[in-house]
Parts: sequence; structure tokens; C-alpha cells
Amino acid sequence: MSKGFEMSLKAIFTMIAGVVILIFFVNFALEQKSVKEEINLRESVTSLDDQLDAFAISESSSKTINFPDKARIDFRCEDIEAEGYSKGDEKIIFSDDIDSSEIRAWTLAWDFPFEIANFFYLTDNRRFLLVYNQNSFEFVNSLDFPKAFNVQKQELRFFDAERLDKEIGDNKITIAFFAPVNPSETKQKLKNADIIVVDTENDELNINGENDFYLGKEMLLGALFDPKEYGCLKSKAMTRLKDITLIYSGKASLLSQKSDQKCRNYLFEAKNSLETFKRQDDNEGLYKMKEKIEKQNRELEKNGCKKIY
Amino acid sequence: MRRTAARKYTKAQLQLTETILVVFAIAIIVMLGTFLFYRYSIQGLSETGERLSEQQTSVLLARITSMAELGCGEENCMDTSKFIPFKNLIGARDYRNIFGSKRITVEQAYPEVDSDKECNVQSYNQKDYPDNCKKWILYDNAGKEFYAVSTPVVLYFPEVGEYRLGILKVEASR
Repeated sequence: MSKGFEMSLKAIFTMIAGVVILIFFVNFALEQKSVKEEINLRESVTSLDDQLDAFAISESSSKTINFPDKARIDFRCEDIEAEGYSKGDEKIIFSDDIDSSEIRAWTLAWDFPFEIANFFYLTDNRRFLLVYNQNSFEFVNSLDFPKAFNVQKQELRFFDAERLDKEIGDNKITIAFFAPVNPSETKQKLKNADIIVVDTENDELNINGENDFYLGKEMLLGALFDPKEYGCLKSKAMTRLKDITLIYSGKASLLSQKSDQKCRNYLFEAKNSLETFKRQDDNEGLYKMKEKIEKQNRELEKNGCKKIY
Repeated sequence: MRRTAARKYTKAQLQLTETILVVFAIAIIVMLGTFLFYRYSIQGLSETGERLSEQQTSVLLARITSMAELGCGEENCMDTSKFIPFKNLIGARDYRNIFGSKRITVEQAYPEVDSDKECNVQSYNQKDYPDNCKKWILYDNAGKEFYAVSTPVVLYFPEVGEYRLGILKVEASR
């Protein structure tokens, strides 16, 4: 009886110790698995960021970026977020929320009038439908999308909203009208699509019912790729525009100190235009000043002075 | 009778002590194993961190020359007349998101310059510019321990319409 009691006590003790050790190892293994996953995720995000940085060296380029596993990556205005890990980013990335192991990427340098930044356009499977009329046919053709992107062009008279609504289902699609249509009416018919109406005459657009403007084709393409974050990304681009303008204004000021009186006057005028350009916030004023700066830069060159850019 | 009971009690005590000792030994081995595992894991993690940091620094080095803030635009060179305005901009804007904990310098390499001075507005305003100064510290936010990567670059001086050879150096904190 006593021996039996002793044996069972020992067995209970050993079992408890065994269970404790087992729990420890299981916990340890699970913790290591999640740590490894977290490291892989951070490595992937950092590597993607580096790939985009390296990609930005080119003025215009496209490529497909592959991940070892399917990843959910949210490109937000100020950062890149992947499953709880976010990395601040200064790049201007027009992108969907990616949920794939393959990202189609495209970059274009944005010049207004001088080079300001590279815009990045990323998507996994977004479809683009560009609807044009006779007046906008040439403009739509000049939007030179790389072949890897799913882009279709259609004339307005052949556009059938009801048929398209049935066809798209839950897929991501941007329908850009380069012709006058009623945005709210079209949005009602195509609830799952992002509807953008572009006024190429005035460089204005309507994104899902909200009016906005764009500065150059590069920015317009941004609205097509990321209608949700367009406003914030446009502001980010405008901040960079102001920063670069400030640098050129400083450059004009320095160059004028090393120039003769004639060139000094031209440079002084250019500096004033740059300062005014920096203060503009509406598209009309920005385009007007852009043209003025372009003209002044040409004048500088024509008169044998140092150019601003 | 009492002696038999006492012997049994001593034997049981001995066995229990033995078991405790075995569990204790196993616990020590497990703890030692865990300690070593974590030590190697941390080492592996810091190696990964260093590798990623070096990769980022190399990408940054390649990217700086094409940045609108410092580049020549269409040509593949660095516009030195943008350096001083860029330094002024850095004072007003936060560039830590782009450069992080780094120090970025540009030095004139060829033709050689008889000066070790940093180029600034004062040296710019003198007649013998760009021969009166050697380097520009474009950004300075590096810690005490750092490693450096550098690359040759073409420097453009629009004031004199000259191209010279320079060295772009990025020092990154470990």
C-alpha cells in the first residue's frame, strides 16, 4: 500500500515535470515561429522599399516584384504597412492594398517644370478602363501604360454601364472617363468601381464624386491607380514641389552673385517667379507660374546666362 | 517494526531527492540550451539587421545622385550649386525619413584642391571658388560607431561651367 502510494506520487511528480517541460517547449516553438514570421515580414517590407528606391534611379521603368509568399501590404500615404508592421516612407506611391505574391510596378519622373520626384504606381490586379471620345482620343493614347498592366480603352458611345457592372463583380477596377459624363449617375450604376471623370482642358478631375485637380499626366495616372489616397499623395507631392522650388530659388540667388549685371537681372526675375510659384496652391496659378519659369529659363539660356535647371 | 518503517522512509526520501536532482539537472540543461539558442538568435538577428542596413546604405548611395534635390537633372551628376540651398532646406524639413542615422559628405577629388575647408556661403562668395574649399557636409545625423560606403561622382559647378570628379560618402550608424 505504502509502496504503491510512493510510486503514484513519483509518477504524478514526473508527469507534472514532464507537462511543464512540454508546455515550455511548445510555447518556445510557437514563439520562435511568430518571431521568424515577423522577421521575414520586416525583411520583405524593407527589401520592397529598397527595390523601389533602386527603381527610382530610372526616369521611367516598369517591372514585376515577386514575394516568396502571398503578402497583404497596405501602401498608405505616409507609410507601408504589412500585418501590423509599418515603415514610414517618403516616396510617393500610388497603389492599391496588395494581397498577392506579385506586384506590378511602374515609375515615372514628375517634372513640373523641373524634376521633382519619382511617382510609383503599384497594383496586383487592378483593371483600368479608359473611356474616350473623339476629342480625347489622342490624350488617352498618350497615357503610355506598360504592357504588364490590365488596361482597356473604349469609346464612349460603346460604353454600357449595366453590362460592365455585371462583369466586374468584386474585382478592383478604375473607370476613367475622358469625356463629359455625370459622375454621380455613373457611380450609382457602377457601385464597385472607382469612377474618375477627367477634364483635360482644365486639368481637373472628379474622383468618386469629389472634385480635385492634377499637375501633369504623371499625377493624373496617380489618381487612376490610387483614387482613395490621391488627395493625401497629391499634398505630399506638392510639399516636395515647394521644397525643390526652394532649392532652385537658393540656386538662382547663388548664381546671381557670380553673374554679370544682365544675367543678375534675369536671375533675380527667375528667383521672384520661383518664390511666387512656391506660394501657389491652385492649379491655375501653378500652371501659369510653371509656364513663366520655363520661359525665363529659356531666356537665361538664350542670353548666355546660367540656367536655373 | 519501527526500524523497518524508518528504513523505508529514508529510502523514499532518497528516491525523492534523486528525482528532484534529475528534474533540477534537466531544468539546468533546458535553461542553458535556451540561453545559447537566444544568444545565437540575437547574433543572427543583428547580422540580418547589419546586412539590411548595408543594403539600404548602398541603395541610398546610388539614389542620392539622382535625387532632384542634389542631381543635375538629365545628366548623371551632382549640381554643387544646390548643396548650400539643400543644407538650408534640411534645417527646415525633416529628412530623417529618407536618410536616417547617417552622415553624407561630398569631397572634391580631381583636380586636387589645396584646402581642407568645408564649402559654405563664405567660400562661395570668394573669387577663387571652387578651389578654396574641399567638401560639403550635406547631412549629419550619424552616431559614434559607423561604417562608410563611398562612390565616385561627377560634380558640376554651373558658376564656372566645369565638371570635376568627386567622392560621395555615406557613413551609417551601426
